[in-house]
Amino acid sequence: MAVKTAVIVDDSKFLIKQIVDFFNKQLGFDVVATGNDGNDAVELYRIHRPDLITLDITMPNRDGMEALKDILNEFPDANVVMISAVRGNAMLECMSFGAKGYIEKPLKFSDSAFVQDFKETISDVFADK
Amino acid sequence: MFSTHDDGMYSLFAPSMTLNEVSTMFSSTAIECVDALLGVNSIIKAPWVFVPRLEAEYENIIIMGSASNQFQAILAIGINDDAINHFIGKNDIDRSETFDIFGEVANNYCAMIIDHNEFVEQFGILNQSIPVLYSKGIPFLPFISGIEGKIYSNNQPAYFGFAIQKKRSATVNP
Repeated sequence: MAVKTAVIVDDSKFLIKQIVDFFNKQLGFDVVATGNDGNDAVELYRIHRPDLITLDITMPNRDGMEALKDILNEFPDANVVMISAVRGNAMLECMSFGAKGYIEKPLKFSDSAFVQDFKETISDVFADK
Repeated sequence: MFSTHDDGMYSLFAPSMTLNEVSTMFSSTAIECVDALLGVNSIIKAPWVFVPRLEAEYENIIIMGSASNQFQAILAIGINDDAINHFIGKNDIDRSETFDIFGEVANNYCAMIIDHNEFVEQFGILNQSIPVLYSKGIPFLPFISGIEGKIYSNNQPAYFGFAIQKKRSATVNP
């Protein structure tokens, strides 16, 4: 089975490194690119057509919610998972726009229950495919 | 001993919450947040206190605003250069990396405060802005009441100050 590819987008390089490590080492993905804002997200999706892209919401230039809409408008089958500290209706809004999952920050990679939830969220994206 | 301000930030909380409970909510969230993001065990040495205005003078100050339709809040995190490696675990860190990491601490801290029912019942969900960095001794002096305190890692402090107030009505031209 081919290794799945991912693009990770977050305005924090510190967090990108953690997320990339997790996808590469724990989830067995090949992270093919990373970006820092919503503009990067759309452009990187066009270039790489990854199996999955993760988006932060609060980012400069173009936020993750806008990038989500733009990506799905152009690529309706895109698998987009939001990774964000935004609370409230953001999760429902993103899911209604077509996001396949929503992971709340902080990313507690030392917490086994959190790691399990994270893995299940990603696994669920591909469950019906 | 806590300071109190009858018309300050504490008065916005439910009367059922004591000063100690509100103070502990903010300080314990800082410890939890730094542990979750940086894997650092930190402590508080003194209870966080309500102050008429936040005052922090550190070599690096990260500021993040957040707001709802009714409330607006501001968070300041201050840390001196010498303390950074005690929280991040390395010395060779430049200002942009400091900003990146502590900006993320600010982002997550605001989210984790909102996760407290006692907070969200009073203030609702606040949407966060992009953090900004003030550096090298520029004091942070908003004229609103807030709560402030420090957490320590290896005896080195990081300052947290959080202030929230009701939005003032504004006239908007049609």
